[in-house]
Amino acid sequence: MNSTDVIKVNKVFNSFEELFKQIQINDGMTISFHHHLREGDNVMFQVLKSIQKIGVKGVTLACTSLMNTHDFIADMLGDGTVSKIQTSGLKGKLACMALSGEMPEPVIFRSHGSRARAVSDGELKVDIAFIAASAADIFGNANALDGPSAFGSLGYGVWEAKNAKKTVIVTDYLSQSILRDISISQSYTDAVMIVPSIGNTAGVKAGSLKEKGNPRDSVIASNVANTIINCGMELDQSAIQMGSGSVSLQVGRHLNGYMKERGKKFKFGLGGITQDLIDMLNDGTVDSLLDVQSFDPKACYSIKNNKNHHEIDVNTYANPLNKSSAVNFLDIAVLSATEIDTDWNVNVLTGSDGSIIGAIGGHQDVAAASKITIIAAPLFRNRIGVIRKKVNTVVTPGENVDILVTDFGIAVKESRQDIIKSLTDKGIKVLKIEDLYKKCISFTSEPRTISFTDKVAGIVQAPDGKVQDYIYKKV
Amino acid sequence: MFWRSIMYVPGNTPSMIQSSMIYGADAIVLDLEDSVEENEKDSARNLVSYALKMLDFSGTDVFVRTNSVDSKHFLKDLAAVADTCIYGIRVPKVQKAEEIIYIDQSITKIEKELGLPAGKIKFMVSIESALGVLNIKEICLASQRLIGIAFGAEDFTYDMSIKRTKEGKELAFARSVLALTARACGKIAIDCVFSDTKDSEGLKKDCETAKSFGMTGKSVIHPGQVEAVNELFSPSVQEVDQARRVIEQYEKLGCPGVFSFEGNMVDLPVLKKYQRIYELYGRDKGE
Amino acid sequence: MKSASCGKAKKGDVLITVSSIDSEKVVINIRSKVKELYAHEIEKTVREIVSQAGKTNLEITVDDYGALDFALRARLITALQRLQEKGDDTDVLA
Repeated sequence: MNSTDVIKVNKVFNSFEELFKQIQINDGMTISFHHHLREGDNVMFQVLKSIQKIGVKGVTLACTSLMNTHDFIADMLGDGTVSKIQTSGLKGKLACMALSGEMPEPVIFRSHGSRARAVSDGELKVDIAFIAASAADIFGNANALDGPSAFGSLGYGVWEAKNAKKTVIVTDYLSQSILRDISISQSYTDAVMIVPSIGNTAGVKAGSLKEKGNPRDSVIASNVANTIINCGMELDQSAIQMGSGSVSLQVGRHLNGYMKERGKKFKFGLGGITQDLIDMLNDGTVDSLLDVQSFDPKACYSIKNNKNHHEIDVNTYANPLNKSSAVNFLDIAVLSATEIDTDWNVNVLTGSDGSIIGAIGGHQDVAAASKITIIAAPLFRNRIGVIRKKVNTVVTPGENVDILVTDFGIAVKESRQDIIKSLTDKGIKVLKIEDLYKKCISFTSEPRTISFTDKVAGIVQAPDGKVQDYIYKKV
Repeated sequence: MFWRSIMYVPGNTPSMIQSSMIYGADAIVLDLEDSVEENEKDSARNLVSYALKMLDFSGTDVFVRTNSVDSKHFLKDLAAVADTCIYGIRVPKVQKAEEIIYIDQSITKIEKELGLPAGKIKFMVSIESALGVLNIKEICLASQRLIGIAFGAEDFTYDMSIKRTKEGKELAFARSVLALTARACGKIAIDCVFSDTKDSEGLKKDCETAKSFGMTGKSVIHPGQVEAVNELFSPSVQEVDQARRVIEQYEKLGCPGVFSFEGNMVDLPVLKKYQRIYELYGRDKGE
Repeated sequence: MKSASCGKAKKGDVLITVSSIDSEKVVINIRSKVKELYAHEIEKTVREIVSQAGKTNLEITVDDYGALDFALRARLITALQRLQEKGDDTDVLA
């Protein structure tokens, strides 16, 4: 029996030392992780520390996204363990390092759809995918629905497993019998690594997902709901993506009430699935949920018990080059922004001061595909206005955006006369984005333009892999 | 001039002042009195003054609640906000007609000093004591400039040594007299705040009670209360629809003095009521 | 050295401290969440108000939490008024 045969029979490992004897990890390899556990993730830490310990260098870290909890990677960039980063977003120390030019290579930023495309068309070749799963069986099947750290959909992980050369499931719950719900099949799994804990699922809700809203969020949510209801789109049997955060949650509540009263039903709710969408599914105001990422561990129960709550992988969600991704069927999408300019270009990645503060997420994919794309944001956050003459970084081009909803009013793109007419007919005041810009400046006054060097700190891809924009090192 | 919701905004918190115009309140009151500590009266006064001079309140009517006339702050408060975009001031804890005359004279004086059109700055007062309630009629009649009477239940129940309840039975007489007298004198009648910002059912009931007494609107202390108060102090969809149909019928018949609508006689006073409802709410937005 | 302050270290507000100094200058220190974008505007406003008030011999520390211009103006003017009052008190006491 040779070593490959051993793996085929016994995939379960209890120490990284043993694991790395079977799964060769070498200098310069590309390894990948998903971000389902968000700020609660503890898998990346354990894996990378073990890699650092055995002295592997020059690793390309290809994550579906990175959070504040991954600040420790800064040290690994310092000692050469990690040399390149590809992600959807950056925060904390890593964001600062990227921007100050301390990273050896520019960071590649991709949307979720672009990431799905890149791993399948060979642009991003992953040598080993380390996939956090809340449960695995001894055969190598895995899901994120069972076990003490269940976190819901494993949508990003599934696609990584299918495309990586080697797949290691990292879990804290091993089942001796075959799992009932299988998100990643044993046919893709090279090894199952048992760790004491994959992380803290309470961290799933952290980050951009604060539920506690302020009164201004309620006004934005009410304006968004009012816009959706009156924009001229027949909501019965339409498809919607609402995003996360306190505004989205409240929009969901408004729409749930509206649809219930009129006996209407959305065809599907897509994307990150929040508690309000699950409520809508239970109340019968949405027919199905397509869940690529659960923003609430309560989704586990729903996925397991409601046949209309589907776990989908990120390829099905948003890969622009496959035969039929779900975003293409979207009628309405509500998205956020750190900045939007008077040409409707949207930034969700960098702030007005040029620092990296967010993530592309599915923004580009959803905006490009949805029939109506709404950006929801406060007109200004403290003194930082959301509307600019020119955004620092174009993440989603203006041609894919239709409506801006703020707490101070609603603007619709001139070319969407259909929407303007419909809203105006219903008595809703529609402004020009320039008017909202002026209003914004009347509060904040004109900010100084930030100066950048010509050194590239980050490359922002478009979903098809072309360059959408660059992030430059600050002066 | 018809305010359903009048929202208090603490006068010393910039973040609340600069977003106060987005909540849909018919009017807002920037507060220099109870929400401001004694040693911050100066900073709040300056902050409110600059806010009024520099911010765009998007067409929302703005009042400033000054400190009471017997405080050392009243005249300073008035002076700081007189030459701004305010609709008027709101003076708390008024008990007697003499105070009304003093307020009116103080405003008249400052309007002259600043070269403002006479009568530009209006005012409302709050009745918050037993004596105040007994004197409402004299208070109402003491000034043309006075446009409305508001009720302050917290201080009233304190003055009466009674406990304030959610149901508010203990306030029934005072609210009733206030609304009745204000209406008789052609002033608006503003109900007291409902303090439990989390109890939306309680707020609804309280609005219905206030409306049944004849109050024209209500003070609110949290943005989350505005929508409910506006809705409850607006006529119902059926009432607006009926108003629309009555007016259509009236116009169709060539504007007669008296006509019959669905079996009921409509004469001028009744028609006026419908016209007012239609003008204010007939073109309400969206679904 | 007399000093006075106004404002709070809270989102949307600004804490301003003004102190009288011996030198016939106006020294301005700015700490701000939005310094890169608005330091120039903050300084412009501070200089404008100080010169309107005809003051020199001042050190002004602006600890800004994203305040809009109206709040900055109001806080600074209040701080200057408070400093003035302290000056009067001192005179009386002396």
